[in-house]
Amino acid sequence: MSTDAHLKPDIATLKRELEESRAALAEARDLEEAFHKSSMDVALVVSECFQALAQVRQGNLDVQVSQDVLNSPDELLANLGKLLNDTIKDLRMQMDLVKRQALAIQELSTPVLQLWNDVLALPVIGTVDTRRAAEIMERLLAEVVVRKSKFVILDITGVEVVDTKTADHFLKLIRAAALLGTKCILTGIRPAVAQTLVEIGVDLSSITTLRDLQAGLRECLQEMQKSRTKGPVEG
Amino acid sequence: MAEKSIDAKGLRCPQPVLKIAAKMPEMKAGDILIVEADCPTFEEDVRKWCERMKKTLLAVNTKGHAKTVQIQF
Repeated sequence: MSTDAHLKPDIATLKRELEESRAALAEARDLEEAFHKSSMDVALVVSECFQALAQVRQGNLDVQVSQDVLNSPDELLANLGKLLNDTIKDLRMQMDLVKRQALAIQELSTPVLQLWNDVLALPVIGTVDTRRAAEIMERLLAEVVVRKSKFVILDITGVEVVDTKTADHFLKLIRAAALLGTKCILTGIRPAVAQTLVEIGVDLSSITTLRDLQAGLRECLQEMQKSRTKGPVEG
Repeated sequence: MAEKSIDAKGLRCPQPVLKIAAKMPEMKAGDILIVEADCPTFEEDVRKWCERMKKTLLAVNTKGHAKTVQIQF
């Protein structure tokens, strides 16, 4: 049996090829590891962006993506991080603006006016819910104490709808003012509101109600005149 | 406290982790995310992810080639 010498690789060649294969395998493993590491780095950066977005969606604006994201070697990711931070910054500014506007609206919606000596007027416009009623009460009572007013005219010309709750808020306000020694007069009840109050059975008999602000002021002036005529009551 | 799950079987790294990231906006504090995957580096990747994102890895269960992890947000 003849042997083909050219088909028989010598040991040295086999060894060399084996070494080359091992080196290629090691290189492939290193490459795979490097790919895994870099792809995980990208995934972590993306995750951090998602986390920041999630926090913003939940209303937390005190959030910022880390410097790792902004320093990311990948331009796209770095831009994404910067865009996210800028968006959060803009949102924060808008929220501040909305808060400032809400505060301004709140102050404008419950103005307490010094109409005459010892007479304050509180024109109420719009809907009066529990929160607004509390704000009105707080503001009015503070003004009553500071200005030592004897009369308050609560003008509800601008209130289109009054239900039992709203009426209750007004009654509480009037009672609280009375505890501070101030007489409250309710003016400007619209015909539709008067009709509703009668229908729902709200009892306003314990308080003075008048047609409009002018009538309210006249009443206050007359009462002041009376008390001046009577003079101080000796205790 | 809600429990949500992701089936990431058949996906290679870093896709399972990216799936978790994409789920983040839906998760609230205290919610638990259960993720099942069979990528060989999945457990290592999830541990790294939890550490970086400051989430708690509650459990890792092995079933054949697949691993199921529980992450608390």
